[in-house]
Amino acid sequence: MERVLGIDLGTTYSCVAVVENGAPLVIANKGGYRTTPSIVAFTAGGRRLVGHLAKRQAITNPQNTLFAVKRFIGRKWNSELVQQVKERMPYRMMEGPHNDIRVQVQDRQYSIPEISAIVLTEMKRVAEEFFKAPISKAVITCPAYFNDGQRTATKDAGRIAGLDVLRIINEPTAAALAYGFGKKIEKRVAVYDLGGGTFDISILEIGNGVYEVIATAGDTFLGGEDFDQRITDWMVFNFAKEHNLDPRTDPMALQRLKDAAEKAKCELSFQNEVEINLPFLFSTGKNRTLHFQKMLDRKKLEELTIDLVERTIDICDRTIKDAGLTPKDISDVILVGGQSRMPKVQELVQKYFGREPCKNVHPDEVVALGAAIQGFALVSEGPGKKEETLLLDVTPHSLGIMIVGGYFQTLIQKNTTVPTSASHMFTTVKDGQTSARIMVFQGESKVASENELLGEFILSGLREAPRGEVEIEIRFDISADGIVSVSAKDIETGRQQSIVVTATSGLTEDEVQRMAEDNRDYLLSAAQDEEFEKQRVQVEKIIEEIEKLLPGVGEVISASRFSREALNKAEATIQRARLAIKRRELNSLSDSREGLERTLTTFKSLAARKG
Amino acid sequence: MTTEETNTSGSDEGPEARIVPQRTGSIDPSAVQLSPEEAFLLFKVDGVSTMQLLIQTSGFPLERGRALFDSLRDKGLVGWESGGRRHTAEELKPTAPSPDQVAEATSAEPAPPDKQPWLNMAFDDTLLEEKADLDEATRRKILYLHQKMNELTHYQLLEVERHADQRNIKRAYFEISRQYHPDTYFRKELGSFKTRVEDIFKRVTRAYEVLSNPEQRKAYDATLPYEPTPEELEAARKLKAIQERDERMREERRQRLLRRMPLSQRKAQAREHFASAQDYLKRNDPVRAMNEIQLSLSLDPGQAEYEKLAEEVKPKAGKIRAEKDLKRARSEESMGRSEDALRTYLRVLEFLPDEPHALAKAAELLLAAKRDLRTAVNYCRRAQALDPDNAELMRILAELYLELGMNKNALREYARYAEHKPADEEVQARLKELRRTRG
Repeated sequence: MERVLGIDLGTTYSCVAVVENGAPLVIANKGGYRTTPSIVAFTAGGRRLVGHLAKRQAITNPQNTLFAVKRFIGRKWNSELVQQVKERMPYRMMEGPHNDIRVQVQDRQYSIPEISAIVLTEMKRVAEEFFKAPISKAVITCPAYFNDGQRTATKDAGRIAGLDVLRIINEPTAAALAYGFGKKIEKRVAVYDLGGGTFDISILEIGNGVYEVIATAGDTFLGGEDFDQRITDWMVFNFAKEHNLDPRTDPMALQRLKDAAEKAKCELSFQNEVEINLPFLFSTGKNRTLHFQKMLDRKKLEELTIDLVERTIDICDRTIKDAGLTPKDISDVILVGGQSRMPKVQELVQKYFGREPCKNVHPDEVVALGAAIQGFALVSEGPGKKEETLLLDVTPHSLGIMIVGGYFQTLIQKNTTVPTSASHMFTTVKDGQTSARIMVFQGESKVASENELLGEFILSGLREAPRGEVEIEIRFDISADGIVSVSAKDIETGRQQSIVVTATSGLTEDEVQRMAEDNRDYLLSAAQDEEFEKQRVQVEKIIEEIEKLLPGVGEVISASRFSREALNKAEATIQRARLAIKRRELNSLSDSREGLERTLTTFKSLAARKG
Repeated sequence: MTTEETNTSGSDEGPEARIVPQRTGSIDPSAVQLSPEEAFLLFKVDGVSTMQLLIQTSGFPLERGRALFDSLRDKGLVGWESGGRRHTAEELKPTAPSPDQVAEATSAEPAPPDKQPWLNMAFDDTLLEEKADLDEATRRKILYLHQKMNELTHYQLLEVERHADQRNIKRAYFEISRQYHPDTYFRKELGSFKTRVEDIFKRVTRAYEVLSNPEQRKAYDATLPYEPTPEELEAARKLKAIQERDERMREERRQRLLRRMPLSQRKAQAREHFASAQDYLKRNDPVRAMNEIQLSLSLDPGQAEYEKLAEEVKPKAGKIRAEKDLKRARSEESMGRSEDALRTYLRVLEFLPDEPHALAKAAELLLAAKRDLRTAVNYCRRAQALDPDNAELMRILAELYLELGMNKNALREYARYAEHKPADEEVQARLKELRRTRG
């Protein structure tokens, strides 16, 4: 059966898994790491670095190192959140052509999906190298509370990376799939997912391989990064108090502070205090360099971040109540995301649910495993499908249209199982009204404009009549993969208009195509570069050997008049090879390599004759 | 509603007096477009009341009511037998259970349903041959369910018992989802079956949503014909078992008795009693004659000759007994045994329903005992009809009304009494009091 990648495209780390021989497994990268930092960097030479390599050079190359871009995927430039956060990022962000976000790296601008695509490409490569076979299909996860725009942008990232994205599924749902995989259980579980950038809570019913999402909620701007930020702010505050200077003005210092904050946070999950030591952190410009050194204990960390943890519990409580449940109705709690390792988080979760969270899943890997399981289930067929995983997913947000007065009329409630459809009758609001503008929104606010506009269209040619007389039926359809189509019908004339609402990811179809092409081009040239490097190393090694043999061979053949020519020919081949290296010509380099290999063989035998 | 349009007399009854409309269980009323009037009538249908009664109590003119019923029948929501015959017990689906009906439900053996009706049904060949990655059996099943799904109740659709618990409903939904969730056919070529599969899944999900929400389920259940719960079925089964046991014991006793006495002997004895009954009749003593006939019948039950005579003699005997009872009641009353007197007066009224003294006395004694006041009012009014100017009856009736809280009627009767007996100061005072509280 065809392999399908399950990719957890995280804010800080990404992970890839595949179901092989009926069992899902996480694939480690070449460095042996099972997760890869979602960091992309561009070197001075224009080379892309991804993952650990990118992370390692972040301190010396902060402007060209892009991290946590997931926080911006599918968002609008003018949104309040983006405006707040953009100043804190060491890389340059700017407005794109469609009110989307772009990042400036060296002389090029990249869209957010393009950067995510680079991470996805890397994950794809990790799996392909492991299986030594190309894999193009993938299921990618996203936070449960992502809106349609963010989901489309994630899907676009997959397409730019050359992936056939079968489905975008929610991270907590994926975690539940991995939790229940291969078990005969009937349980109601909660998935508490506190990742690098987002928090999600989902409640699911599991019944022998069928997973029904009952409720889901979250906060797309609450995660481990915010915890790091609190520690960074604390360090900055202490540094400023001592030296009356803001270390954030130096991007390199800021990066070091961030790294130290993350490291301290992780260590405080296992020990009670850590020393944060950053020598030569900040130069005053007057030949003086300042250091940062301070102890941080667990209690202080909890004090700095308790409101964040409490916010997650509030969201849990609201979600459970909305589902008509109480914490007692949950029979297992699954913790997902690196930040869920924090003892305070576990303590408050345990206190709220009144039970110890499940310890059998790996918080960093479970999401990718679940994505792989869903991918496997989708492509499986035949009678075996009966036992396969089936996910009954829901709409994460309510869908509706704007009605008179700018209000939002919900047609499909959030947490409705998809596929689903709903219709509602509306009437004209003005005398003689002959057209109606249908604006489709997504969100929970009663005021339409506070929700996400998904699309709009105009139903024209209505019968001229006093207001309230013409009836229009609006119908919403959501398919299993979350595609929304909306139609409006004049009941009397039967006149109908409909659109497939594709939430804008911030990119046009042409742009996505072009970016996918750019990515392919880059990969091709990167592959050629790699091949060239490989050949170059080999060729230079051969030349070195030939040149070592040259004096001896010269002696042997100096006796023969005719062989002088062979010697000249060998030298010419070496010259050609050196020229090819200089000009970076892969083809002529390969040609000269063959000549050099022949020469080396001849020389070796001649040298042996001498001995 | 005008009285001309409503048949109330027994003589010129229309067919609606005999028709008993039944709710058909197969259609979900919420899936059909109904006018408020139709819905109003539909929810009055209890499977027991006649169409005439239903129309009368709805307040619609008869013609309108008939038209509404016809429309409901056309929509497949109600049905009745054209001849107006009462339905057989198996067809009855009452909206509320009586023990009998519950017992009926337990005993009725439903015919085993055809497990796979789609296999033998006729479908459009173009659909069965359409290009799609589906085998024929699957196609047939999808076509069948798509065609049927709006007629089936949520329970039938999910294939669960009417009183299934949440766990079983969820299991059933999950199982059926495996067959009709679009992901089951992920990236398959389904042609026109694609939307059918989606429609079925949406319909099934709707059913699950309703049945898994206790409030919605309750409201939905109210639209369906009643079906007893397993507990009710169990209770009915037990009751039936007890009744059967009692019946068996009675039968056994009778058999034992009959075994002790040979048939010929019994018949001879019965004949003797019958002869003495005829004797008593000749001597104009129907009461004794009746006793003898009853003895004959118990020894030789079902004898037509005996039964015929019993029917003849019974009213005569009853009347004579009633007259005797009347005397007896008077003496009981005079001796202050008012409980006995009341019982005897009531027995008198069984055979002499219009005996004025018995009526008045029964009413008075019931009032004193504060029992069956409405029956007492009836007796009193019957007595009044025979003796309209009887002031005492007016007083009793007034007091009965007062007891029942019907002050307006009490006032009226007291006023009439006061006209006849202006000297009764106690009544005058009571009248004043009643008028004051009303004003």
